[in-house]
Amino acid sequence: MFKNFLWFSKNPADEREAAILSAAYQRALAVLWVGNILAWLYVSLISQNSSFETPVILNAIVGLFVVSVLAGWVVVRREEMTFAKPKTGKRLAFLWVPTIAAVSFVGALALTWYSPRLEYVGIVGFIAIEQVAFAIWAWNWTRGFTWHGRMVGALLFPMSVVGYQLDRKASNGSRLLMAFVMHLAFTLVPAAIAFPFFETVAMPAGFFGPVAPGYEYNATFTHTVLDKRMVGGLHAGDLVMLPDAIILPSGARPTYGVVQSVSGNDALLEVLDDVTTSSTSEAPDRSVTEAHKESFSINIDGLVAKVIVDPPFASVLTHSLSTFTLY
Amino acid sequence: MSEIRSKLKDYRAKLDLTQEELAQRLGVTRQTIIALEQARYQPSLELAWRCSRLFGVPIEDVFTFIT
Repeated sequence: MFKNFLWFSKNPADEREAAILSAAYQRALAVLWVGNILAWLYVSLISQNSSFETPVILNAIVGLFVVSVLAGWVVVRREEMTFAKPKTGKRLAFLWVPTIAAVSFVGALALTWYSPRLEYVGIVGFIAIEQVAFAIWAWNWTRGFTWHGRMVGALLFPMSVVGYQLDRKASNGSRLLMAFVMHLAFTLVPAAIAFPFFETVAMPAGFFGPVAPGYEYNATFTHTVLDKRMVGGLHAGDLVMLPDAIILPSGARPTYGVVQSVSGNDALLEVLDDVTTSSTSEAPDRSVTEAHKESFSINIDGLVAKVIVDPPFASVLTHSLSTFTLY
Repeated sequence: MSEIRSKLKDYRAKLDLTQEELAQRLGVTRQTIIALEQARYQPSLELAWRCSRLFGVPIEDVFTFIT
């Protein structure tokens, strides 16, 4: 039923199988490219205010790769293929490129499972290894060129070289078009990964320039506590949405809390929605903060909660909470 | 897309070769010989040339492309 499902790991035994595998690669890459463009359109046009946490990005990448493999399999599955054994195959690139990509991706996933704080590192590592694999592929496929040309092709335009060499029987125009398409598709994906990495990890952590609080760069994002810790830790003044399970000694079940201080893994929170007094202050968020009556300490390692890191939104929410409580 | 007509099966019968034997002589798989005989695959110029050399006839006698 799933004959030749792992088509990308096979070596062609003759020119017919090479042509079929080439067609499968083209189909898979075309699907990858179209999916990439659609994802970009979705992110940029439709869901501008949605939060995209790294597990979502990881899932999207996994899904896109699986769909592209399936698209290639559709080309291969009805064909009678024998395939060459890896030791006798001439085109080992058909084997080792997907193998490296798979190993690096599993490594990225393992890093993520080991510690959520490493998820960005895992993703960026995966992309880096993948780019290196493509660069080596491009280097091997430009034999006959001067080493200057090979360096430029391998380091700057590896995907263009790969795209150009995919179908050697095609016209020169088609090959150039494929090279351009591949270059666009595979530079957008790393860019899509790298941008949130720099925005949410590198810049707030002070890798580039001074250390800055994470929320300054995440005005519309809602992060989990772990994310928040990763980008610089909880800060006094952060608004935290609490899990339902928390019951205070007074019997209150708070929904929101404001971080007063953080000491190690313990955060001192003040309950926001246990407000019983009103205020006519011009700054409603501050008035509510002043009205807090109950504080409690909680270990943030065990806190499955959301941190709202958008100061303007936090102010609005704080104001609406006070209004709701008052009336 | 041009269509191909193949007389590979006839020439193979003249030489009294099996598909497997012909595949070995041409350096391809048996599945490729089947695909060529059923005109499901268009051979490369190199493979077509090897066929014509093996049978001792011009390429166009073995393969005919109809545009």
